This record gives sequence, structure tokens and C-alpha cells, in this order.
Amino acid sequence: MALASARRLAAAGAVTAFIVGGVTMVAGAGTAMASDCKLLVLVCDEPVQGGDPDDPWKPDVRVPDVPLPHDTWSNAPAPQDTWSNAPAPQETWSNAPAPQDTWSSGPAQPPKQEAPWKPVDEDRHRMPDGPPQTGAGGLAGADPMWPFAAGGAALLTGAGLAGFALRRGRPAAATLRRGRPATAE
Amino acid sequence: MSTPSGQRLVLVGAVVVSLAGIALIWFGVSGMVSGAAEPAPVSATAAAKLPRVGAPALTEPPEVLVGRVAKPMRTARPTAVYIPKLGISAPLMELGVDAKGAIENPPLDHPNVAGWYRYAPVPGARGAAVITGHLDTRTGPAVFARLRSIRRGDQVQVMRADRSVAIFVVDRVEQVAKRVFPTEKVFGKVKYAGLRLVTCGGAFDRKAHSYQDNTIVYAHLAHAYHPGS
Repeated sequence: MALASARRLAAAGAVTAFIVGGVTMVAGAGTAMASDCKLLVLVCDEPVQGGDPDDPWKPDVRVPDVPLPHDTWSNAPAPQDTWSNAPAPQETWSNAPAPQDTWSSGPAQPPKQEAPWKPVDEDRHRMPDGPPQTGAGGLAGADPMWPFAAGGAALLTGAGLAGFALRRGRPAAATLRRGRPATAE
Repeated sequence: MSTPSGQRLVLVGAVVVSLAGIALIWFGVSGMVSGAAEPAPVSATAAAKLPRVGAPALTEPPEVLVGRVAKPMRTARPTAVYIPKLGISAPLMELGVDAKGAIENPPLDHPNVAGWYRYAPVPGARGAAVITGHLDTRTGPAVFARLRSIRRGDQVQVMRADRSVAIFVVDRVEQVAKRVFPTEKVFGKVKYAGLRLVTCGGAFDRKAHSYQDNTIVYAHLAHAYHPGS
């Protein structure tokens, strides 16, 4: 009877644990999705087009202001427009510099060459303060955890073995204690 | 009779296993078990694959080379360092001092670049030239990752802008704590053409974000190589 109720209790505990675990996992995944939209290939920043018809958001479908070829209201100048500012090919008043212009602001001399290398004079030689710091720890690696895990497991094993030995010794001692008076009588 | 002896055996086993556990945890705490990845040793094949960048290597035995001393060379800008034994071939940059007066370091984002200290003699000239290089970056080995493997009698070649090559021979290698760094011994004046290669070594202090030691290689000029001569 007591065994049956214990079983029922264990089963109820297991179901509760599963439910709690599941709820926790779902909550955790939801939090992760909220914090990182790339999870589960979700893109949060881009609006989904063609979604809910009641959605007030509408895509912008206006045609840009590009003149059509035969548009009568177009502001584009006609080929023979007389008011155009573009100089005609043979125009004489062009401001473009002539090829032989002497006032060109371009580089008149070739770029300066780098000064020849010179060692530091001996009287300027000096000793630096402190040792060179020539390492960033990439080869040092992380502190290994296995000694702690193995050591802990060994300690637990040792404790278990000691307990086993003590338990094994207790019945033998009790048997001896029980048996001694009987043999004496 | 067998029960008490069996019990004793189990108890002894329990004690041994517990002691082993305590020892393992102690090793972990004291850092005797390290997670450091040793840089891969250079095989003869790897060294042979290295492009021929320096002068022909000196062929005498190391004990003969250690006793061979060449006259100092005239100054020329050093451009690269080449250590055939370790498979190191690295361009050189000039290093000055920073605002605190400490020697500058080569940039960490160019791990294969070494640097020569410009406020000391040029490699090959009279005096002690100093070349430093990183042991590692934050993510992996750097140019002098295997420097501590160099041995007495090994050769170090420094290529120079005038196409000459200064061939140095290693006299000794030492690892010293940074707090007692022998500045005078490394940067001090000497009457011969010497070279010191310096990098980090020892254990990495995560709090100080620095290695605790320096590996220092002392070498002297054994041969001045001029192509075509």
C-alpha cells in the first residue's frame, strides 16, 4: 500500500518536472528569439509584405517622377532648346583651359623621394625601461577543468568505497556480537 | 576471517582513491596541469620547405661556429631575420620606445613580423643589436613561438638593405623572470657585433595579462656575407 502511494508520488513528481522543464525551455527559447532575431532564421527588421489585410501599413507603390518619352509636361530640355547652358562644339567663349595654359595648378615637380635611411647616432642610444611585452596569451590556453572533475569523482568514489566497507563491516560485527553470548550459554 | 581482510582492502582502496582525488584537485589549483598548447615542433621537412632567403648556411659544427667571430660590418638597415633551424623567416620593422620609455612591440595583427630596436646598434655593426618578436597573439602562435627551442651553435641570419647578410651564432639561451630582466646584459655595450633575440616565456599571468618570463637568446656575429664577393 505504502509502495503504491510512493510510486504514484514519484510519477506525479516526474510529470510535474517534465511540465516545468518544458515551460522553462519554451520561455528560454522565446527570450533568446527576442534578443537575437537571427535565431531560427527570423528577420525582425524587415516588414513582411502582403500580410494582414487589416494592417494599416501599405507599401509605397507611387511611380517616381521620371519623365516619360512623350510626356508633354516634361521639364527635360528639347534637343534644340536655345536656352541651354551647354556650350556648342565650336563655341569660342568656352572657359575650359587650353592645353598650353601656363597657370595650371598641377604638380610642377615630381613627388619628393623618401629621405635615405640613417641609423640613430650612438650618443642617442639608450636602454628602454622594463622588459619587452611580447605575448598575448594565445598559447597559454584556458585553465583545464578535468583535474577538478576527475579529482571530485575520485573523492566521491573514495567516500562510497569507505561507506561500503563500513556497512559491510557492521553486519559482521553484529553477527559476532549476537553469536558470542549464544555460544557462551 | 575473510570478511575483515576484505573490508580492510576496500578501506585501503577508498583511502588511495581519495588521496588521488585530492592530488588531482591540488594539481588543478596550483596550475601544474596546464592547458597550454605547445607550438608544433619544426620538422626537418618544414625547415627544408622554407624559401631560400638568406645566405648559405655555415657548415662547420656548432662547437666550431661558437668560437668563430667576424669583424663588425658597416651599418645597413636590417630588413628580415631568418632562423633556418626553427623555420623562422620574418620581415623586420623598426622599434622605438613608447611614452613610458618601454620598448615598442611589433603589431599583434601582424604576428609574423619581428622588430629591431633602433636605439641600439644595427645588427651586424659593433655592439649588441636587439630583435624582439611576439611569442603569441591572443589567438595563436606568433613569430618567436619556438624561440626557446634554439640551441647553442644554431645560426641566425639578418638580411640587410645593402643585400649583405649578417650570420650570427647562438652562444646561449636563458629564461629570466620579467621582474629581474637583465637590461644591462641585453642592451649594454659590448665590443663585438652581438645580437639578442627576445620574446616572452614562462607561465601566463591572466591578471596582469602578461607572461611572467622572457626568453633571451645571446648570439655573436660569425660571418658577414656579401653576395658576389
